[in-house]
Amino acid sequence: MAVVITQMGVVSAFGRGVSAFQVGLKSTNRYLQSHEPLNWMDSSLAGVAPNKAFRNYLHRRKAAKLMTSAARLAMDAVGQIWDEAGIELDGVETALFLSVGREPPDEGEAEPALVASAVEGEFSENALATKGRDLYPPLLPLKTLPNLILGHLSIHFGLQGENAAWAGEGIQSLIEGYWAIEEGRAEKVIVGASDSLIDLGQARDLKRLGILHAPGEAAVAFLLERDVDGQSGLGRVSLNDGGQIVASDDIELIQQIGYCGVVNTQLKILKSLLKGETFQESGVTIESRLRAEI
Amino acid sequence: MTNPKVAWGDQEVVITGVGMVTPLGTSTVETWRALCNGDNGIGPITRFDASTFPVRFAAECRDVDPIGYQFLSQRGQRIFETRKGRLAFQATQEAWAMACVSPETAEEWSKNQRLGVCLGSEAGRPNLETVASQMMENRLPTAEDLDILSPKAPADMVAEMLSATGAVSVVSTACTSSSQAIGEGMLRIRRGEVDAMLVGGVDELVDPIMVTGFSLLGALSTRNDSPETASRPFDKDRDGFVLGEGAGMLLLESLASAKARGAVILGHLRGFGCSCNAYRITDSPPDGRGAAQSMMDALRDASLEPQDIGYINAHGTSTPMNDPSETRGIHTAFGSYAQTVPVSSTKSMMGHLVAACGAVEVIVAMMSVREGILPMTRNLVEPDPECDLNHIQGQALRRPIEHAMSNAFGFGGSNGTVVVSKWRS
Repeated sequence: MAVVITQMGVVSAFGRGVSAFQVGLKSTNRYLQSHEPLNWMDSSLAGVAPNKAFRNYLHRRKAAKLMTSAARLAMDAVGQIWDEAGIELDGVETALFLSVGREPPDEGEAEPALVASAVEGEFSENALATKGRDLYPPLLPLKTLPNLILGHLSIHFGLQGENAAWAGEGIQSLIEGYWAIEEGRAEKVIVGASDSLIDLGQARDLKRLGILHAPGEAAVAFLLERDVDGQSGLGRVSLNDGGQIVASDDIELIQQIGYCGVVNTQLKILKSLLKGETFQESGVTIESRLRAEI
Repeated sequence: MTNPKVAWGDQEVVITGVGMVTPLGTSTVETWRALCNGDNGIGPITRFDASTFPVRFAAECRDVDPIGYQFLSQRGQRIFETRKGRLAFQATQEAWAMACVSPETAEEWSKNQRLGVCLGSEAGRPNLETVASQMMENRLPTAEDLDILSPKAPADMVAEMLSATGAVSVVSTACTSSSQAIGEGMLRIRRGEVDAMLVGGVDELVDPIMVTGFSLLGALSTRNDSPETASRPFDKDRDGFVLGEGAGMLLLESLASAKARGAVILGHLRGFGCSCNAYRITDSPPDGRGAAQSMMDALRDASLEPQDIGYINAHGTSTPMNDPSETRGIHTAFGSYAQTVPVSSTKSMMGHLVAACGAVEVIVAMMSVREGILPMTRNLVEPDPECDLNHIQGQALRRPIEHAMSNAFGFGGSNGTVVVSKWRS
């Protein structure tokens, strides 16, 4: 039995959807823009993704308050699969595996509490307990848990099956999804990655870590299913071994849309699929079944 | 779910080493003895000045001072120097020593990528005093400062300790993290990807920001005048959970590997299930549906019937919402047997270890099967009528059992269940 990718969703600085991604790749232009929160840095360029469409998939508007940027992007990418799939996804038989990065608060969300917790420039537990506490958003500890993305997606799309949020390497979720289908643990699996590195703190940290590309943000989602006829689907997935996962970046792509953390590898997979090429890395092989249009 | 018993050869998965650091002790034996006695691991916060905080107690671990970290690389030593690093190091060292892996086997595993690592862990948090001093001196955190806060840092250190060259991965699903890490390790061995996996979890949440955040959520008990009675899962007077810290590690092996090297088999890792609640971000579903799904999947994976389970180590956080929801889930999964199967929550003694709780509690379930002693729920004086289960109250229960179940349910609606069995050759 083999596994195929049957649907894809993406949101990045290229825009929303696979078509926008294709257009962006073809153009070879840089889609970086000046991003105000980074104004004080050497360069304020960032790969900013459209960040509104996630609202189409919310059951309750209030839920948006509990979503980080990465959660909003993931909701959009998975929502595109929902729109495109044209099939009923069984809530229990559909598993969900996501690779996630750090989930920082939105700009200005935690700072007031921290500033109020300082006395003469030094952090004070007493000041946090008496002043900072009142400025601390009560739901912040929940909002910034990486697996909250899973929670949002499961609620809005009714997914009750197997699920996990993986930290570290972006391709991990795809490997897990492949095995869930192979081992008969799920009929369908949504795998993906989501990360947003365009806030000041994360952009600064990237520089400190020696990553000199412009920061970016993106989410990718793939729907995996059994390969029933050996020819349909967008790409055939196979696994070679269980060794170390070694991520390698697509520099051209990063220069176009910015450095997107744990999403980089899945963006690279998407690019290979659209170019009709075979992706081969970390023991994962994905043969494109698409006609190259780029 | 479909979830058939996975037939990848005869790769049964067994446990050959365990290690833990908990608020009750710095080793498995010490923690287990305290659990059997019904001891308390919760007390006033000593890690920072909490005198003006609304919650002034927690479940802190005693400091550990393991030897041997000097052999780690510079990066490994930096990770070790964090609280999480030390806890993970100590627990891993105990599990590895207990498994008695010979240098030859270790070398073979390393050479052929036959040992992997999967941990449950969340991102680290910088020390606030360090952050403040960096701000004062207009100094940014260094790459090294940032690197050791990565959720993957403890797993990388553990992989280095054991020269593990198989895949290293990290699950970040809050309180379900290490339960899922165990499930992942089991699946990798079953499918023959590796011979052995070091799995588990580590967390440390006793810091000013987390205490502030969780108390604002209303999730923490506020019994400042009586910390030792604060964690009271399933009791009608429960008022929230108690933040804790700790680490739990297990060495899992394929049966073939354990037999080949003559290892002592501590337990049989029999089944795993996981699910999503798909209910609300902040609440558990009152009908416990996600929890029930997770338990039923684990039973199916273990090829067991509900009445085969001799003990449930419940997630039992002591929050008003979790305990009735879990109770309903147990009723759905176990039917009429839910009134019979003994249930307890060891969080009553050691608080909530969050990303580490799944691993620590699976070890407790394994010890229960092995020793025939089922720890009690401390502080359970009058069970909430909404939590109508066969609770173990007053003292630990001596009863030989064959199979035990451990539940872990996370914020955001992730659920994980593990079934462990007595090993019978």
